[in-house]
Amino acid sequence: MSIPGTPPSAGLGLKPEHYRPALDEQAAGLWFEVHPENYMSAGGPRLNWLDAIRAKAPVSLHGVGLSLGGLEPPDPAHLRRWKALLDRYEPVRISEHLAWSVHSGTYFNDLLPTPMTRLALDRFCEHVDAMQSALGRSVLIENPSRYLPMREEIPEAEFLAETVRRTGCGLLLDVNNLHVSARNLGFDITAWLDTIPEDAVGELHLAGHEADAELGDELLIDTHGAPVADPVWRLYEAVIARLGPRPVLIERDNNIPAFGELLVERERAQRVLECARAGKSAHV
Amino acid sequence: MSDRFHDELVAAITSGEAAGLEPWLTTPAALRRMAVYRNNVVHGMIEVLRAAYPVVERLVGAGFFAPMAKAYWQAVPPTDPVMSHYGEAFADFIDGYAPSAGLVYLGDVARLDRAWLEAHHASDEPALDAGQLAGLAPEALPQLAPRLHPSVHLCTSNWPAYAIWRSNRDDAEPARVELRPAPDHALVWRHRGTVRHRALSSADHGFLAALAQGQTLQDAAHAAASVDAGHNAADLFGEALASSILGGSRS
Repeated sequence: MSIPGTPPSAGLGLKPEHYRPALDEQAAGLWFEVHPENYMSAGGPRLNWLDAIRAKAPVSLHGVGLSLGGLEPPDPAHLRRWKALLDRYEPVRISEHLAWSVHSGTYFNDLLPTPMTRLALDRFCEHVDAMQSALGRSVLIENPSRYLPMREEIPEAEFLAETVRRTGCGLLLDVNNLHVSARNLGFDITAWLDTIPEDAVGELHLAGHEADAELGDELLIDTHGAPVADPVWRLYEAVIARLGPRPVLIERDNNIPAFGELLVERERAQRVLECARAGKSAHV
Repeated sequence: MSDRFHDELVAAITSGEAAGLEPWLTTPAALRRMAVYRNNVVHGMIEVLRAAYPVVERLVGAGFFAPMAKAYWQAVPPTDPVMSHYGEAFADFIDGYAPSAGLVYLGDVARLDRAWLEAHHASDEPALDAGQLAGLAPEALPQLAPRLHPSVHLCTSNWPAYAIWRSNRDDAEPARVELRPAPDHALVWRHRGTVRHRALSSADHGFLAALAQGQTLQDAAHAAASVDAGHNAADLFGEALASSILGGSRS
């Protein structure tokens, strides 16, 4: 799921405060990801910055608002806005979450947990189908960061594997979410990786997490507000050793540092891919 | 397991009452983790409004702004995941928010923050420029009824809201503003990718408000002259043409 003819490479989540250095940056293989919801305005400079950046680097769209894991089908009006962005920016990949954020017409500014039940799986697959049909292309579904230990009929990895089987979607493996969820819920990462279809993984995410302010290390929060943590770097190396190189993204949405600091993390992620391609194990 | 889970989680986020989630959890001890979702949503909404209303936040301070934003979210939760659309009714909410009633201008300052945001995200449709009028017969010009460009916002207050807002934008050094009621007009719009703003006289405002209502240039000039007999509508029209204030003509 990388661009035909180009090897998978590392990208950066694009923030408005970094438009200028992002446009000027020449690093080989650099690509950018944005939330389409931040570009659903009638016009204005944001859209023009993304036009300029898209003219020199691949861009992917990572949605947070379709609420595929909710009770209600994805909003057709929101899908039309998505389609307009696909036509304008021709993203190299598109993705959404195994989560929900809309309930009875109200939007919640978070990625809320979908119960791991057979009924929820049927509904989720219908919603993924609806998104793929409306947009005319395959979507990558991201594994959630989980906090609540819930009774399950289907373990998360099987839920994702079954979604891939039924809908033909791909997976966005968020390595930080996998680490955070496994720690918070106490599941086994190796068994999780054994269950998901490896070929379906079209992108990886790396981000920072923080211990909960009140509960401490008992509960890790996926804040996107800190550098990628060492255990997540190690898990990333293990995942790449297992899957081979895949496009990988450094995400940072809070406590946003200078562009150069993110580039350093992005370089580290890129080196792991290059070592894997050269058949060496990475030492980052 | 039924679909009640979504209802119960929403109840826990909006009210903080999480006990209804217990049947879905492997251990009741996990209920305390529910606070993560409530905090994420409440904090996220406050951040959205803080970013959209920077001058309001600067005037009242973060400690006052946060509960006001939370109260707004509770009264008017978003229905659209596009966060740049959220907060449309915040100024009206502030007008009725008792704790800030002493800051009589605060709602109008919020309207200026909103105008800035909407101008920033407004359509890129081309503005009317002088070249498009070159072929027009001289007698036809007064009958032209150009619309205002979609980025244009006319902001009006009975208090010196614009002076307060302008001197608290970005890191501006706050100016001394005499607080007494008087008509106050400002124009907020986008020109060449940058949001601009300036004060308007009552006559300037009358001219542009008439165009906004679909009137012709001639009628708009009359409206301005009725406010100020010496108003120079030609100068204002020239400035409007040169700085992307007018959109296409109504035909």
